[in-house]
Amino acid sequence: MRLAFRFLSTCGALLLAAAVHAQSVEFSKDRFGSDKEGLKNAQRELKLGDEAYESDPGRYEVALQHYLVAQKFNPDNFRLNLRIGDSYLHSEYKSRALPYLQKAYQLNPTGDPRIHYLLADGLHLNAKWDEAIAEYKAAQPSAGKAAGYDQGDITKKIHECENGRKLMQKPVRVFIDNIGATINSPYPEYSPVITADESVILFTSRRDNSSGGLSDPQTGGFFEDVYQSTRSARGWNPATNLGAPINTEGHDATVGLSPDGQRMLVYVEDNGGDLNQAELRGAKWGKPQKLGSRINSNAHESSASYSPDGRFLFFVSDKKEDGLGGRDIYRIEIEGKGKAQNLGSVINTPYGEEGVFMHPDGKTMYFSSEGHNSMGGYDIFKSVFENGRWSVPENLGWPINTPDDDVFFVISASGRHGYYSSFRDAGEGSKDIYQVTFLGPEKQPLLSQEDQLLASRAQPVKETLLAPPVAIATAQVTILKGVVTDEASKQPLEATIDVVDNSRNAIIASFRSNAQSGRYLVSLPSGINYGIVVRQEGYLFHSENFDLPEGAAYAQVTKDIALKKLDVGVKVVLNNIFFDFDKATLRKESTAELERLQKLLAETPNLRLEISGHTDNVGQSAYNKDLSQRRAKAVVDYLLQKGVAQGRLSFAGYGDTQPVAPNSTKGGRQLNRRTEFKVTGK
Amino acid sequence: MLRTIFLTAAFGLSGAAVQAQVDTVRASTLPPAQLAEKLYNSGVAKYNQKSYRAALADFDQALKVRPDFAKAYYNRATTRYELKEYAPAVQDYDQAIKLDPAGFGSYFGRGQAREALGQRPEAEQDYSKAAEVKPDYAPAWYYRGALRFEKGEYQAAKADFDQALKADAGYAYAYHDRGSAQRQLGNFSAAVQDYSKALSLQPDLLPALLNRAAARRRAGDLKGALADYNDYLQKKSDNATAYTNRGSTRFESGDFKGAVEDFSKAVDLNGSYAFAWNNRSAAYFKLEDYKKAIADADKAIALNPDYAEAYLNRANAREMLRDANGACADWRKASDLGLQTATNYAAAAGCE
Repeated sequence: MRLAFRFLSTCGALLLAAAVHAQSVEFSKDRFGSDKEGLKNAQRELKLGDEAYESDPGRYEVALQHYLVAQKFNPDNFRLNLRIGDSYLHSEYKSRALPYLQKAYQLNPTGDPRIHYLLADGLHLNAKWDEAIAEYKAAQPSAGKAAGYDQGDITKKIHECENGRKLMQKPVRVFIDNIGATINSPYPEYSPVITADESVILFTSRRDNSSGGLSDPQTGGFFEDVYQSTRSARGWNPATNLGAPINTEGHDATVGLSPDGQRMLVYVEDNGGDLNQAELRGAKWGKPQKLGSRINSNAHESSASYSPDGRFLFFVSDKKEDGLGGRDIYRIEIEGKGKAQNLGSVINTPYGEEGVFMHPDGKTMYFSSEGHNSMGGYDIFKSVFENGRWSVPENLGWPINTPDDDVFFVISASGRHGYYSSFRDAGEGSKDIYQVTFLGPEKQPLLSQEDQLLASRAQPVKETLLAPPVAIATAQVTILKGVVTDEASKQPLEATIDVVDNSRNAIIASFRSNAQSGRYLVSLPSGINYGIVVRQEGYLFHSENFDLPEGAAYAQVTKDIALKKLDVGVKVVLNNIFFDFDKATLRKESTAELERLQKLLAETPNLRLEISGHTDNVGQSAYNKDLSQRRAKAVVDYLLQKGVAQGRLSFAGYGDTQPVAPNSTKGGRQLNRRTEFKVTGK
Repeated sequence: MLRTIFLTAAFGLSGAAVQAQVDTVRASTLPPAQLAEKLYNSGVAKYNQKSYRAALADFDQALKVRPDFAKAYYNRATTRYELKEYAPAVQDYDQAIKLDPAGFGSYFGRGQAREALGQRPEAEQDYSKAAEVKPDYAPAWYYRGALRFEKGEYQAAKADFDQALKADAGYAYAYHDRGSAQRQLGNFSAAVQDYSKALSLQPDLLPALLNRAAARRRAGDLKGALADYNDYLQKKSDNATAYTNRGSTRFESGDFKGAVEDFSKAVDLNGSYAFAWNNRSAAYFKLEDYKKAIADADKAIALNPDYAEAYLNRANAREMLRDANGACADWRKASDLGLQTATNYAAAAGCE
């Protein structure tokens, strides 16, 4: 009995001691008289910290440097803990605020009217949703005037916590990996942009080797520059500074890149923040050019992305005119005359929208927003434009989105990888670029089992226990890329690549292959029968066909194209001439190709051609020969009807006698079924 | 029936021989027909003592004496069947049928011999004929049902097992196999009933426990399934398949650790049992132990290089270990081996 009592009283004494301890300890001689030197030092740091903290605008990073020294000397001061917490909330490392704010609250729960709100913020940023909601509810709106919050902010933050709780319950299956030290450095890296095939990445960094090597007097960091890395089989090569004329002594930041990597959008600080465009000529970027006043207003234009055909620009502006509040996303035809169109209230909220990215499929837009069901700050959303309207934006979910700002997200054409920047403790230092790998719905392993189902048989029956099939959503776009060369010299060639909608007989977009490397890349959103025409003066055109029905899944096709000079004997396959099955009737989708042929004949008056038909070896040879001949004649008849002189054209049906590939495979047979022309005179 | 009559006659003859020496002369001058019967009876006796070679010699002799002796053909066929000489057995049954077209036993016997020769359609015809000649002969229905089951004709198989049970309500095998037909037809509760009946008729028909467990599992009764597996393993603990199947059931009920234990027991019992390695790989995957999942899938693939499921499981684990290329190669291999799920996974992961 006695022993137990004694034990209890000891416990009581300990508790009492703890309660006494939980009181703010002042930086005073009474308390630290024995260490005068230390106290003096701490007080000096405290003073320097206060100056930075109280300046307008507050220099919180500087304040933190001093405050943390004072904190080491005396970790139990209410005011210091509160200010360290508040400074962290204003820094890059917001989530670090929480332990200081909790300590401050423990030392003096009524010491500052903002305490509940700040503590709520700290909890919120650490994804402690329920505790954060309780503290937001306890926050006093009246105390917020000086700190810049009101009841509306509190209500919104409670909503954000509720969103966060919901989204965190169903995390998306992703890997989020630091992209590595060849790209990330101890300095900030952010705003990555990629080509559709992820072969090139451009990003912004504030390193000590930036152009001019100067620091921004306002923020203390080095000026922004644009850097580039290319991908090899082993991963990303070491990033290099793009240099002049892209990078200047001031801030130069990446904003957007065309899917083929031939055009770049750069942010500059002129005119309240404007967008410039630069073109890659060979291996060298041209000087960035202003995008013009239809896009750049006096307000802040901060982010943009091309449509895959390069005709439209999606961009972000905080201009008041046409705005729905905060920054909004607009769309404009670059070469057109019309005004930029606000994307409307399905996308744009009364809060900020930022970091727009149009996927190469031409219909899926990724952007960040402080509105919708954000879990705090900017979250990344996606919306699909279908049947003339944008779908309700979908939050990309936890852990891609966090309570802090998640912005400037780009995604590969395959939809498999996304890139964005983030502060994470495991990084190379400061803000780093991360790669998000989307794993899709959980993949199920398969088990096997067998049972001896017949009593009189020893043979077991095997079965696989199948998991239910999962819905597979892949991007609906085909990436066609390769190198254009001169067939004779094998040298890379700059050529024009026309993307034609065969059913409408209209050119959708034109691109140029790179003058130095001959490389080209086009994005072909599903739902169109495409003719791809590669042409260059002095060469015969080359045509390819990609019939991509609605919903066709993602594919990447590499096709190197060798353009041929116009010489007698040269043969060119006409891949965009289509006949009805088993007939010699030209389908209307052939019109574009036939017109190209007609144009070639008009431009080269002495040109004489033999049009020939070819089949695979399926079926009777005689029948094949007859069909191929009738088809060749149909092409010739079309051209004659269009006024080409009779003597310039001949036709022949070769059936299966001139295969260009083995008939043993489906792909080979398809190559053998073709219409081609041969130059017979020039 | 006829066989009994001949046996009775034989006893009569030998009894007379013991009793009266004078009869010896008469006996040695027996008419040829009776000599054949005597040899025949000797063959039957040797057959019953499982001296098949000696029985065969007697039936040969009997047939030499009397080439139209249908029963001797029948018994020689049966003896040859026991000696696994199936083709000559079929020839003897042919002769027996030629001489006595109404003998259902010859059809049934020829059906068995033809089945042993892998001539399933012919065997099925013979069973049909036997059942037609003698509809209350349960085995004819039963064996035809089994053949139809193996062709995947579960409805027809079930009808045959029904007939077998109509002819013989105590036929445990027929209950068992009808249970399997029900199971294949998706009638799991009917299957469970039939397996139970088979077990009550023949408690040592242990596969029925495993099959009832599998049927219960498919009906969603994982607890009942586990109880059956436990019961089986208590009676017979050296069966790798039983451990593997209990492991799969534990897996299905979310007990991945328990599943690993069972699959481990299975591979201890039979290290070349690829299913157990594959399934343990799947369980390790669920436990997020991807390295072990890969090692086990490796083992399953080494045992069976065409094991599609094992490639898929290894691919899934490789993906989680950031080995995108390795995962794609495995999904593609599984896809080439005909697994549609693998094709989908490869597409979803953006494999080129």
